[in-house]
Amino acid sequence: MPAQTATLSVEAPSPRIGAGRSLAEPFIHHAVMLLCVALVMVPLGPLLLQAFSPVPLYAWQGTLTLDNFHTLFGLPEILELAGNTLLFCAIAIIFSMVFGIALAIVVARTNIPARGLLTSILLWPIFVSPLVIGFGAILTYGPTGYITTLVTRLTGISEPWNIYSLSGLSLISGLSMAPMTILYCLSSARQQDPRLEQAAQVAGASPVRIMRRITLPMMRPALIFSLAMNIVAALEMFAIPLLLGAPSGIQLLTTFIYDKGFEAGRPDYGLVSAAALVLLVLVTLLVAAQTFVLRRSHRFLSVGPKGTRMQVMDLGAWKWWVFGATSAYVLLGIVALVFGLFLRSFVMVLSPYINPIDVLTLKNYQDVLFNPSYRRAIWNTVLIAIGGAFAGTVIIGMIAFVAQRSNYRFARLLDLTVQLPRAVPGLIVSLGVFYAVIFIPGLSLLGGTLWVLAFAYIIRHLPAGYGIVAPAMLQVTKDFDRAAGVAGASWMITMRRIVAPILKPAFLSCFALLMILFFKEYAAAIFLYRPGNEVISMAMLNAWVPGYTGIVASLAVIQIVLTSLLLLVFTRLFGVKLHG
Amino acid sequence: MADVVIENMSRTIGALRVLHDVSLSVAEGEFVTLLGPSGCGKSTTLNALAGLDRPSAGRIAVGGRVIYDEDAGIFIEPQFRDLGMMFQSYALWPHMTVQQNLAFTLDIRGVTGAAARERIAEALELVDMERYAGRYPGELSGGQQQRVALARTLVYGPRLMLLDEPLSNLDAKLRDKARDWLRELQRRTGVTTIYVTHDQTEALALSDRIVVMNAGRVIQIGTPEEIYQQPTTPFVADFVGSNNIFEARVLGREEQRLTLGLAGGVEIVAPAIDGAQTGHVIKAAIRPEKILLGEFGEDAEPAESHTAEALGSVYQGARHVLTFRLGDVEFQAEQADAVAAGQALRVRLPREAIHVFAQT
Repeated sequence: MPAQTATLSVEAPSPRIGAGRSLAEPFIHHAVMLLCVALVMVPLGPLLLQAFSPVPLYAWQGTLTLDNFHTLFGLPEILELAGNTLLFCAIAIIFSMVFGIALAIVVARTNIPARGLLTSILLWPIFVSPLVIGFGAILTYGPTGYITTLVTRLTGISEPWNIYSLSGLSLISGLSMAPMTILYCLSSARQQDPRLEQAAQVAGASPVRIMRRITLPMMRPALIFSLAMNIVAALEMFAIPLLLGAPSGIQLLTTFIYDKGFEAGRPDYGLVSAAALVLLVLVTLLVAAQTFVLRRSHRFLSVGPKGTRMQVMDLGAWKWWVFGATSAYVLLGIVALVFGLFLRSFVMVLSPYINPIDVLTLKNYQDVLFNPSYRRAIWNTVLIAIGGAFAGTVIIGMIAFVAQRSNYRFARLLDLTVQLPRAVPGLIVSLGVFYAVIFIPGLSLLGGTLWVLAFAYIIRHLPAGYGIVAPAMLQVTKDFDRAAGVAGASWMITMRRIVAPILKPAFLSCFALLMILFFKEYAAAIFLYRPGNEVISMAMLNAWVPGYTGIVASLAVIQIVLTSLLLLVFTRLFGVKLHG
Repeated sequence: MADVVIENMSRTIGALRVLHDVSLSVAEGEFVTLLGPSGCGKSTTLNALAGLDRPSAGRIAVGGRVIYDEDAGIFIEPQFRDLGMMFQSYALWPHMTVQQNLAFTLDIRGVTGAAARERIAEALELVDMERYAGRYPGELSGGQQQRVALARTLVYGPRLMLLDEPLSNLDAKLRDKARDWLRELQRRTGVTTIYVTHDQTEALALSDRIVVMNAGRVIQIGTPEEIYQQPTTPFVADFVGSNNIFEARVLGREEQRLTLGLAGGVEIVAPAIDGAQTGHVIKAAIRPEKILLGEFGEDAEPAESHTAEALGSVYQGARHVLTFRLGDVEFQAEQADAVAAGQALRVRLPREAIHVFAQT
């Protein structure tokens, strides 16, 4: 150590020593709590009240009743409704789980070729609205879909299948849910320590036994989690049952709520709220059960030295069969639908009997771009995706700071409150905000504006964004905050200048996720749509009803292209990772 | 610079009592170490001083200013206490360069521009890190990070510096160097320092005074020499340095000496203390390095010399640590050569080297 003579000459002035406690802080903590409670309760409160009110909320006199539930359960179609919903859930969930788990293991753990490309395509539909998948399915596998007619021409069977049936719409819904299953199981399959399997192999176990006794049980938390998320998604599923069920009169719980609350001439608000409450309770119970079951999932963490190269299973002669089957799923389940949409958007009519080149046109896009209503829909979608996601990220950030990084008395409560909307289906958020706008004085100013949509979207996806920011925040040591505090920084300065910059990647990820979710959201908008605040999803639905298929296809293509562009910008430019 | 007075500080978490009536005063410019095993309450005490944890009862004053008083309802938040604290993890903000890390603490105090730059240069020069001002913490080695963390603690001239096991993340060689350097730095700056560690070597080498803590209580306060040579309890004797601690019965008492009977019938002699009467079972200790081995001349008091059975020895580089049995009690001693198990040994336990603890 070289000899030194320097000593610190003077003391720096003390930080504003006053009463020794800051007054702004508790105020901000309470304000954030209040904001969070308001976001969660504004849609739920009026909904709850309406479910027990004998008259529409705007005429409410203060009496409560169970009549709405009596009416609901006394409906002649209630048994069919429950049966349909149950059967739909069963088929969609089984399809999604079986294909999702199998495909996740195949692309994560086996040595088939082109695994990276296959994985990307398999996960890609996550970024697309189920509405778009529904349209794609109709263009491809509907009665006049190009693959259906192709099969008819080749085999001579006039109607090889009918997707306008309960099993048809359940399968298509399962197809749209499968990428979510793949996503949840993929990271679990990838994170597994291959030595666990090698140990079983050395002990003499066959590949099938290893799969059954080691690989699948080790994935159990992911399996339980995806099962729960699948049930929630199936219960919430709305777009595909609406598109495929309505023409043949098949109703599920969600489409029933939509019909009664929206399309029926004089909506029975009490009945709709009662049905919504039933759906809400079902989903809440599921989410609670899933949280309870997974509370000890750390048992399934495999520990071991990190950084070993992922070992894949050698499938031997089966390799090409498995590759073929996976490719067939990718081609028929994803590529064909998107191809159908793209093709349809550039032609006047899509049929195997007509050469597409002969009917090639840009008219669909002209129709979209020269119609002020569609132009506005595109502009609104972009605006709400970027602005709404920004506002959402700011709100989520503030909530996370208070819930995770403050000595606020109710921090734990805040942490739970922000996650409540996880149990609230988009349709219910939409209905709740719709009631809130009617019922809460002052909110009616927001009616029919983009603000009310942004409000509903943020509520709906609050838990998703928080789910990205909170775990990232937990990983940042609180010593950083303590060091700043002791050095004289207030809580707010610490959050703004220390914690927030460290968490920049998490905030960017949150922003990107919200943006994509907002882009494809439709259910939360459904009751709030008015001319003027239309978004692409709503415009597609509205164009579908009178049969403007070409416009629907080109809007879908525009949505897909814009989402992909945003995704590209964020993953390339900012290195944002949305999964894994 | 300031003095520190802690009065009757207690901390309970639910039904658990983490601190019992801790009282302590630290003089201006003093280097005081809180020493104890993990869970003894030393870090809780430090956090209470920093304001990171609020005690349940008591009072703390720094430089005459009360920063905590339960009865008066005073609890000054950390940012208003004007202290410096260095964390075990260093807690260097990873998104700021070394320069920015130091500048942040000055910025809060309204010191910016040339004044801040001068001060930062001064602090970095003090820890010999001025060449690394533009680096990010992730680009520095453990030892360099430790210096930067110290510079960040010192740059705004805090009244009191709190150090929480600052050397525990360094490897053994570097730790020795950093210890000497830290001591030197503290002497030079003269800042009142409270240092927390579980490492008795660090405590002995660094401190003006050591506060030994166990199970939430202050056990003994004293200079390193006092703590090492006159431990007041078997716990301190055992925790600081290595020690042979054994039970014995007082067989006889003269003016200056006690005759003690070990289990197994061997009698040894020890200096007399108050409160050890004939018939009492007491605890006593002797340091391994104080036990003499080999043949002794005429001057050796017969009552101090014994023949013991060697149980074996372990080589430790500079010396062999050997174990022998005297009566039914096992002792450890040190010498240059190894011994074979079963070998007979001449051992001498000098009377003045034995430390008898009063019965509690």
